[in-house]
Amino acid sequence: MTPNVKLLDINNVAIGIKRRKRETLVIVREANFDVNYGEMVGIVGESGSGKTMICRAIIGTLERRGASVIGGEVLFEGLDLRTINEAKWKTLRGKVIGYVPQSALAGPNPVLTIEKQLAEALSQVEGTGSMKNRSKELLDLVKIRRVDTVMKQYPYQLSGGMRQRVMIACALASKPKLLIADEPTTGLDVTVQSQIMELLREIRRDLGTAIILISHDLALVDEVCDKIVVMHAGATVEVGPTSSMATPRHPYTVALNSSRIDVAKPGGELLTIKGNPPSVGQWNPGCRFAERCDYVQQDCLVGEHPALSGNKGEHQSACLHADKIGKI
Amino acid sequence: MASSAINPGAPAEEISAEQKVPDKNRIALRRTLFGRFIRSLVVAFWVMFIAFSLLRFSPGDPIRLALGTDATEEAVAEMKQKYGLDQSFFVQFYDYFTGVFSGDLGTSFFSQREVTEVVAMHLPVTLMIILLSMGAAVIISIPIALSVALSRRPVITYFFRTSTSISLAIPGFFLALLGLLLFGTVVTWVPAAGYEGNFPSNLKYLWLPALVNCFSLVPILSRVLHSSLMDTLGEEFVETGVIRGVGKLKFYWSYMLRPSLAPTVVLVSYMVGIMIGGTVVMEMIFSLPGIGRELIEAVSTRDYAIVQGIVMIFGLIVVFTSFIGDLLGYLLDRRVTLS
Repeated sequence: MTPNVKLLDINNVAIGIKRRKRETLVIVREANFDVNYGEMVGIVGESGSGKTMICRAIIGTLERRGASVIGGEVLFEGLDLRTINEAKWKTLRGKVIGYVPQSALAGPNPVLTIEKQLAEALSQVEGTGSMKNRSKELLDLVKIRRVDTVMKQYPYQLSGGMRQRVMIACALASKPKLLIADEPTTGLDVTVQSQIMELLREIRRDLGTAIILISHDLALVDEVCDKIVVMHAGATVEVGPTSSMATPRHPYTVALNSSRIDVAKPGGELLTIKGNPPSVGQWNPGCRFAERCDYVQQDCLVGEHPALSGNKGEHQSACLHADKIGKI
Repeated sequence: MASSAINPGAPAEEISAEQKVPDKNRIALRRTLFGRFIRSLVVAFWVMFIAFSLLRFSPGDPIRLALGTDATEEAVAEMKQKYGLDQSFFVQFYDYFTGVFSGDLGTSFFSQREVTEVVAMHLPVTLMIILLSMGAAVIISIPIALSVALSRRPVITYFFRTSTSISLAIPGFFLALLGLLLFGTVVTWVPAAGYEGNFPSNLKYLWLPALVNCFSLVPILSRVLHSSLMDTLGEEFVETGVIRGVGKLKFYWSYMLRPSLAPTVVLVSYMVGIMIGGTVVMEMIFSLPGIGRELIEAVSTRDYAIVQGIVMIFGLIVVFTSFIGDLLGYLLDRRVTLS
């Protein structure tokens, strides 16, 4: 593991859906962050902020949904993922880059036994020993007990937490350098959620796998990640190491922080972020958070969406008035 | 195997551990299968009972129909006694019921033929038409539904919906007559009448009725399959398949068709049941010696034995095929419950 070498570099990425006879629908614009080897990065943002789209760009399944990367570069170990063909994708997708899908309940194929699914994942990579033993090792790795029974079962016979463990096991079959977990705990109860998080943490510690954790739960990401990326309306608005993100430098992060249930005063009012995130394709000029911002100034409402300040790897914010935050 | 050389204890332990695990799936499957079988028997009994009683309670006296209006009272009484019609309803049913178990379905009042003989002669024709129609319909529907679902072009979906609606709206008898006119007279690809029972040679009589049936079957099957496929396509696990990089064939089968096929399979099994009664139109138009024609004839003459025999056979076939359909659906996709 080489520290501070970029495994993944997302540079000014824009993602859109090309439409006939109408202009391209832009879903993501100005996504900027990087992932180092063995690093755990959390991406947070409301629904529709483009988190999942970025994942799909990294795993190469955007085209299936009719979308594509229309600007910027997605560099994986220096290789621009925009330029590679399907044959090359096959050597990356599910091998060097693993993926744990959004909903645990619908992730595994319902018509195949767990054994068959693990075998499918394992057959893509070389290994020693019988398929059965390798599958069992994988299930051990994700801490599933009664392995023999589980192998013969179908996904519908397993609980949500177990299904998600199986999906993580499948993703780990190829010992990927990067594991993308897209809201891996959606629909799971809180105890199972923390077990899954603990598992991801251990995987990263024991196998040195870099992990991108997507979530809408800032508290969760705060707890387990080294770096936090905050997305709003298709743009990265703040990026920084978890330690320095304790003092946010973008009003959106401030708002997210204050709407956390774990920091709310007992008996006090739960704070929410005012307004709704702007709809895709209906972005106003200037900062796309301006309408919902407490710190909004005249210059926020004109021109382009502000770019991230500073250099990559540092604490960056896309707010024109970052220095004023916390002082009002 | 390599590991066994290093650690000879490990494989033995693995085998014993496996034997200890009770295969819950298999036990549950056996139990439900047994339950379904018992239920099918019960349904079959009721089908038999209803077929038997419907005719007894419907107006019209088969004996007088058979003997004509100028028959003497003695002749009527004699014949009633011969066929056991002078006895009470339940005695008649008991005799019939026990007869069925010894393979005796009774004898026709008119032609004096054994019912089993009639069924054995005419049922294969009808089954052959159904088998051909359904087989062709399934083979045609799957690629159509799959390609429409995968194309994602609105134009193609629109065309698919329109053409299937049109095809479904044309009555079968009209298409049959049109087909006969075209393939029977303009070009003589279909013999205008007659029938040969042996397998390869009967195809030249049966292909046109099967094709006509397809015009109503393919729209139904392909639309049901198309909508299941669209549901499947929206599911997250399809993405998992893409990411796992499974081969093309495996992807189409395990990630697209197999999770989508269950409703279609169950539908096919029920449609076989519907068709067994509906094929009579085709049998009439193409003058095929199917069992539907026999049934119609027997009903019009109140030929009790023939009618109840054929209706019972129909019922058994429906019970059997729907059972097979449910079972196949379950084997394809375990989310389907076999209650």
